[in-house]
Amino acid sequence: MTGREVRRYRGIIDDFIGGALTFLLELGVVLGFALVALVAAAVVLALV
Amino acid sequence: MLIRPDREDLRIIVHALGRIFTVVAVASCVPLTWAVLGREWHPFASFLLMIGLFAFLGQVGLHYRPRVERLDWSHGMVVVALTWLAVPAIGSIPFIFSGHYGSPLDAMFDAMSGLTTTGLALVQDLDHLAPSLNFWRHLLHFLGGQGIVIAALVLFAGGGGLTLYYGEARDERILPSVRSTARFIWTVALVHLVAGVVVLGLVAHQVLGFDWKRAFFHALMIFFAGFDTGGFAPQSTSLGYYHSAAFELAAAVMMVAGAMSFGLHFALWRGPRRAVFKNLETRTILATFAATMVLTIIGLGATGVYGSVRGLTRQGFFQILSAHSGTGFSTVPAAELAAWGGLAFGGMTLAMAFGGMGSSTAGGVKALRIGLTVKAITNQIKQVLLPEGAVMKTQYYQSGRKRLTADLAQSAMTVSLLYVALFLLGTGVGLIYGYGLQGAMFESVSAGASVGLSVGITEPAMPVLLKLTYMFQMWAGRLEFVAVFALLGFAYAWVRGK
Amino acid sequence: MVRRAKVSVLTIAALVVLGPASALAQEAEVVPASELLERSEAFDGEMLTLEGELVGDYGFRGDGYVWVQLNDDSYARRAIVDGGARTGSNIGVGARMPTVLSDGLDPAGGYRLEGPRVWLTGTWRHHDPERGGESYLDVVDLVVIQDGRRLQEGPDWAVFAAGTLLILVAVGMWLRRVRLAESPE
Repeated sequence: MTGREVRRYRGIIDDFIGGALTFLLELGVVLGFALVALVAAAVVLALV
Repeated sequence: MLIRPDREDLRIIVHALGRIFTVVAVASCVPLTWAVLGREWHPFASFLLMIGLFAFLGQVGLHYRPRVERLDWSHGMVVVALTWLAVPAIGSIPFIFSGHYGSPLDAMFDAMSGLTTTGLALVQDLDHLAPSLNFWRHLLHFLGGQGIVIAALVLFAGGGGLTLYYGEARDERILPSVRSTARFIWTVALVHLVAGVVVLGLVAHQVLGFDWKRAFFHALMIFFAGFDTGGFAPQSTSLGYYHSAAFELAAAVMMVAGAMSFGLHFALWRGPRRAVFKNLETRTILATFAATMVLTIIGLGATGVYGSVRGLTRQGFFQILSAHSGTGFSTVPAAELAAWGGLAFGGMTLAMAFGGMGSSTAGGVKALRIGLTVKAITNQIKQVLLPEGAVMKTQYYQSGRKRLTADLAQSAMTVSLLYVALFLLGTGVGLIYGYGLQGAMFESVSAGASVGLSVGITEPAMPVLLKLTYMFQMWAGRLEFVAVFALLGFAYAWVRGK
Repeated sequence: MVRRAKVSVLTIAALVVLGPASALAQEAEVVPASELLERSEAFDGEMLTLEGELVGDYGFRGDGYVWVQLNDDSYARRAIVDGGARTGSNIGVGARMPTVLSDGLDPAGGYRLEGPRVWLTGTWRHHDPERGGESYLDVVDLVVIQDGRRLQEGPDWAVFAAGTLLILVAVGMWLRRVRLAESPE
């Protein structure tokens, strides 16, 4: 494979990793905040 | 002394508009095709008329070639401001002829709401609306969110790209050229489109039990409205229609994606990935989201609106995410949202006002400005407390270490104040018409921050002046004022300049 | 006709077999959806009957239930496309019913489609803790008042003509510009 091809394939793999990381982060943010919400809700309802 | 714009200035503006109208005419062939496939001949005819008008005006604009192909800052701003007036006006044609709107103004309201990714709606009998028209409502979100101007840049050669880009309230030049930046934005959108529709469609089919065709339809509509943080929904009960935490979860992921700036997407995709959590913008929005959410949950829990942990968690989380990201999906009816008083009202309204990240489809004051404003204020306080003559070096991190100059602080605070003024304007007009303070404020912030959550004030019977006020707020809020002032300045100079 | 007769036979059979349960259903008051939405908390746990049009989708979830939206607005009686007046936005609630009740139901309402008009009887659940805070009608009985039917909406020929004309003019202008650009100066 030529250097250019290697770079192109690496670029595509990089893009895949980047994309996967993006989705993981988005899901992570959602679940993370849902957890914060859960804790807050549990505390509030326990105190009320 | 104002210099009066001349014929050449006008040619430049009209020519740029011609390009943009042509792009929109081409994009409008998608809902036209949808109407054909669905044999929806009544909407088909109205789409044809809309396309015809865009195409015709596009050709008229392109006919006026300027002597020099240049687009100054002022030209670009005026073009953007006019685009965001003209496209909703002409784009409302299919709505006008659908019979589902009380007046052409109502139709333009929805078109403006669609393009500015707000999501307030005046449509009547949405549950019997033609799918192609429903699709057009949601496609407006996509066009407005991704930037029709950006699309025009990508497809047409010629200068002026940068100014048009800034005019659409995007302040990050992620890649060396505006073209490559624009292309990246569209790539991110398309990747999310495929992934989002697949996931939402699978949930709709497997969990909700819809048939494949309808599952795909709902998935596509909710993707557009979620990723572009718009908020239109294909059915009248918004996200509450689906009665599913799983579906809400999938939609929530799209909403987070939409509220993230494209700069952040780029950092995640191509690196440096560390920047993601170091950025002032990221930290600010995580903090404001957590704070407003906890505030809202306390409010709802304390007043007994939700008595179960599951219910309080799910509804509190989703509604705040909807508010903060500027989406505007609702899992509760408007009348119920109106009853969310006290802390919950405060949390929701603040979340809406704070908004998303810059260079995203979210609206509001935006995280970076809030972060900078808070930093500037704390610096002022520190300066008072420190001994006289002490030197204070103020820095912040945003994709690299940057200095918090007086100019930057002033700019952030000015725009924040302009948003507050905008919110107050809508609140004031609402109060004049006898709406309660809480409701008037909520609805006004919703319009100005391009959110779309409603407590019921936005409805066909609402006063005309209030409709116009919200439309102005949607327009000015989405464009972050600069383009609006440029247009007003241009008009003033035309009349009063020498 | 046969379907209606089938429903009537089933109803009589149900009345005979179920006795007290269906008597309860008959006694349940018909509540307008708008009132239900306004006083949702007050109706929590009440057995009531709603009347309206089934719209949107039938969501057949694997748990033996099917979800549907019931609209109780003027459009449930006469959609805009059918010549109905514009009276604001839709007013409706979500309903969950045992899958067996949905057997033989016409498609739910949508574009050019009037869904079946029904009486849904069930318990109103307000912010149901079992369902993560959702509000919906937990249906035990369904009676079809009127079958669903297809509606017509013909094309608007004037609009079609105007659109076609504008497109032709635009294409003409474009071709003219292209030809002028190509011709030697």
